[in-house]
Amino acid sequence: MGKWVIETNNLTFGYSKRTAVFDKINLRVETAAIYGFMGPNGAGKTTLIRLLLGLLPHHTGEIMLFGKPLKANRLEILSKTGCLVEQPSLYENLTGRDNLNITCMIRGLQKDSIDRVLQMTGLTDAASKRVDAYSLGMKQRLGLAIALLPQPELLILDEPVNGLDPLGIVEIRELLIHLNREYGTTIFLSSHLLSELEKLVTHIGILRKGELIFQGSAAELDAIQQHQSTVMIDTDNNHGCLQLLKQDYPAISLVADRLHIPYGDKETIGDLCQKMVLAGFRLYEVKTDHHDLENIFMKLTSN
Amino acid sequence: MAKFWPSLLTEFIKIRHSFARWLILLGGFIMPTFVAFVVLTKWEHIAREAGNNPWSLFAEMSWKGMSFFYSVFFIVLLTCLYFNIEYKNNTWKHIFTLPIGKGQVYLNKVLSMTVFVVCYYMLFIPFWVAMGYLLGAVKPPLHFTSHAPDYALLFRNCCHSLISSLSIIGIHIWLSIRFKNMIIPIAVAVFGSIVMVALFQGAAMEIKYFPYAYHYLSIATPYFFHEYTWGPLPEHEWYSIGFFILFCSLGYWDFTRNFAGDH
Repeated sequence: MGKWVIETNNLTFGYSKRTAVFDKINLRVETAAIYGFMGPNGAGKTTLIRLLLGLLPHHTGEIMLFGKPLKANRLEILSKTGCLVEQPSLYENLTGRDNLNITCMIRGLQKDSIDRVLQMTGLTDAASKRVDAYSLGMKQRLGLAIALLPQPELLILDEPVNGLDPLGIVEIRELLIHLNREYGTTIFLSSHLLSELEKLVTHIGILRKGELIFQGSAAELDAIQQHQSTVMIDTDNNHGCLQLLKQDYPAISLVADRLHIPYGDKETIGDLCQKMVLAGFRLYEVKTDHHDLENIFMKLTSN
Repeated sequence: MAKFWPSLLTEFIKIRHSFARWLILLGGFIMPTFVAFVVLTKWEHIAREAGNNPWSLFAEMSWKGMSFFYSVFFIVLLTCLYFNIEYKNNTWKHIFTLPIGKGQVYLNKVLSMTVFVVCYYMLFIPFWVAMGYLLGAVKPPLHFTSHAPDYALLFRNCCHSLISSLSIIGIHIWLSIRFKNMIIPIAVAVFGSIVMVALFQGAAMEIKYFPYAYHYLSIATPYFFHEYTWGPLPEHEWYSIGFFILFCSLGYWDFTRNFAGDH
């Protein structure tokens, strides 16, 4: 297996010939990465996940998983992959254990793996309950338990924390981080909870209208975040400061009675402050408005 | 990769606590109970008509009841309910993300459906015999307890009826794959049964090409109907096997090429 666990080359797909959901997507997911996949509703996240799992047959371009074409190696690839697509697919007339047992038997796994995943997802006590009596969060956990059964090398999760309470979200986040760090499991997940993704992922892909508008590591995104940050300054005379600094810092502006200047580096902020103080201005507040993932996402997807 | 037996066994786990399983259990029970009720209410007339051995009349009443609509609709409903387990729970997509070939999934479905219908006949036999003896215990003048049922005939009827069922199994598995909505296959069966009655009424020999009539043809040959017997089976039962192969092949084609479980 090469560097990429998931690799698509010029992947193009449409539900009809006239309308393409994606056009020439080149997705790259590194081995042992936690890849967060974001995009507004209708961007095609779930469609892409369904394509990666071979659930949608007709497409052009190439999908490679574990370095092998999906079409020709579907069963081999699926034996190493655990997934949760949209809401969990569960037999509601059966117990949680029966649901796990079905997957276990089809995958040819040992029965003790059922207890292992029940414990991992905190469902041991509810294992004998019928699934139709489960809460949404419990169903989500069971869906995740099913995905974890084969100790997969690759986990593909579509909205894995949907319906979970805050404690559940933290537990699942820790579980995914543990799987990634301990076993080197590559995790590809989509989520609407951007603050959650931010705490979890090592790599990010942003999809907008079928186009991958950003793909890279969290460090690369940090660089964008810094680049897009603004320093806000409040003094006893903001207009006076504006006149003082305009020549050296042409990007400075006065917005809502605050001085705004794009973030450069720490030294620049120090120089600015020193200049104002030496000119006799009193500084009340110096604040950096860092763009979090949500802001970056909003900015990228709204353009 | 999925092994054959474990993956087939999962199909039997899936029907636990479902109406499909209750239908299999009740299916073999309802007709003997219903006929026993009729016998009880008209026992004097039946005792006269049956003569010394009531089992043959009891068998005739039960089998005619089974073959005229009842078995057809049992199979149609069972097929719909069985496939609906996957549709209702949205589990097709889960199955298709497991390391098991679509062909094997389809084979498991066909085999399970056939086994369910075999179970229905296997449950019918003890229920029917028990109901006969129960009638004998409740109404001794019927003489059920002083004679034994014709087990060979019972077994033969079950076999012929099962072979007649194959065409309906094949057709309705294919329909359940084509249509997520249960109403469409049921409507097809209702229409098929109406056509069957019309063919009987019209004494049409073409009835031997009509799968919804095969159960009845296997049990009670109508006065106008003549057919060849090829080997151990009459002509229409060979057609039933043919329809089963044809529609199972169509189903296999649809399932392995186009089916995504969401239409």
